Amino acid sequence: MNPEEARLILQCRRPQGQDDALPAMAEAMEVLATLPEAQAALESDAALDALIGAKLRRFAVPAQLRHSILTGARITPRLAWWRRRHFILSAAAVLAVGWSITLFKSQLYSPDSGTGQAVPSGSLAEFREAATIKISGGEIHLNKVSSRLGELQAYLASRPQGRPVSLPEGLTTLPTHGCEVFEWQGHEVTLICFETAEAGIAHLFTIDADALPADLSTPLPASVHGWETLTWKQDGKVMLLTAQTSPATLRRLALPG
Amino acid sequence: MDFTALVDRHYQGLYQFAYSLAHTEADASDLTQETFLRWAQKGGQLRDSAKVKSWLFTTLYRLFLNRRRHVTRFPHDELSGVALKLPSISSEAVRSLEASEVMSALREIDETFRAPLVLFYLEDHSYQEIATILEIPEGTVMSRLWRGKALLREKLKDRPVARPVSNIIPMQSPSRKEARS
Repeated sequence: MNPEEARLILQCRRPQGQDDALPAMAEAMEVLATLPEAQAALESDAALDALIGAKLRRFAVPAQLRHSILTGARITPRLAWWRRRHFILSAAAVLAVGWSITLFKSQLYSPDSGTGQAVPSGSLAEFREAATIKISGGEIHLNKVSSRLGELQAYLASRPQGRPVSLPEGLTTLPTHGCEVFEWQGHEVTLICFETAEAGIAHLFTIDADALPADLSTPLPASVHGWETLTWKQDGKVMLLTAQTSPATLRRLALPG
Repeated sequence: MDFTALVDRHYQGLYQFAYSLAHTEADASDLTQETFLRWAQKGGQLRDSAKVKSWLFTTLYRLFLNRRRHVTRFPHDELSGVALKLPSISSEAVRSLEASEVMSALREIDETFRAPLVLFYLEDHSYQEIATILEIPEGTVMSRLWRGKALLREKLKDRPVARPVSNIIPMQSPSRKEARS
C-alpha cells in the first residue's frame, strides 16, 4: 500500500475509531505513521470533516415529522388482518359460498331476485370495522398536524359545513397528533389522534348520529381486530374511541368519573 | 426494539439524508415516513438487529430511486482516477456557516457524490455500510467520498463568510461624499 492509497482509505475512517480494527485501516495507519506531513494533513482533514458533520447533524427536522411517523406507522407493526394468509383464504371461501347461494336463490325463485337483498349499510359494526381497518392499515393522512386540540378544533370548524364538536372532558386535556376528515359510506367522518400516557395513541372517530342509527343509550365497548373500541352518542354525534389498551383504560379516557 | 425508540433513534438522520436527496421538505418527510411504514410492515422479517440502521437507509434510498422516473446508473469510479489533494478551507470558515448553508452547499453537488457523503457525515456509517446501502463497491465509495469532499469544500469556499464588525467598510462614508463634491 502506498501513501496515496493509505490516505484514500483513511479519509473514510470514522472519528470515534470504529473502523480501526479493519485490516485495511490498520495497514493504512501504519503506512502514514512514517510520514508526519501526510499524517498532519489527514488529521486536519478529519477535524474539518467532524466540523462539517456536526453542522449537518444540526440541520433542523420538521417539528411535526416525529408525530406524523408515529401516528401513521407505529400502529402497523402487526400485519393488517385482511392481509394475513388465513384471512385471504377464509374470505375467498366465504365469497365462493356466498356466490353459490346467491346463484342458487336466483335460479330457484325468479330471474329478478338474483341481486338478493342489499346488506344494511351504516351499521355500527361496519363503522367499527372501517375505523380499525383504517388505523391498522396505516391509512391515516392527517389534514392538520398539531399537538394542540384547540387548533384542530378550529381547523375542523373552519371547513365548509364544519361545526364545533364538543369532546369528552377526559380528552380535552390530552396532546394531539393531528386530525383528518374522510368519507365513509357517503358520510363525513372526523378523526382526531391523541397521545395518551396510558394507551399510546388513541383515535377518536366522529360521525353524525343520523348517519349511524344505533342504540347507544349506554356506551358500547367492543374488541375489533386487537383494538378496543368504545362507542357512545354525544350532542348529535356518534363517537368511537379506539386504542390498543384495556376496555377499562379506554372508558376512563372517554368517560372519566 | 420498540417502534418509538427506533423512530427516535433514526428519524432525524433519515430525514436529513432524505432532504439532501429530495427537492423539498415535503418530499423528504414523505420518504422518511414511508421508510418507517415499510419497517412497520416488513421490518419484523429482519433477524439481525445490528442491521436495522442499514436496512432503514437502504430502504429510504431505494424509495428515492423508485420515485425518480429515470434512474441513472452512474459508472463506478476507479481509485486510480482520484486526485489526491483536497482543496483547502479553513475550519473558521466552516464554523461561521449555518447548518442550512452547509446542507445547501451539499445539495448543489451531483447526487453521485452527495449520497455517500451525506451518509458519511450524518450518520457515521462505515464505508462498508455505505457500500451496502448504495449497492456499490467499497472502492467506489472511497473514491466518491474523496471527490465529494473536494466538491463540497469548493462549494463551501464560495459561500460568503460572516466577518467581524471591524472588517466591514461602510459603503459611503461622509468623508468620501465630501471628497466627491
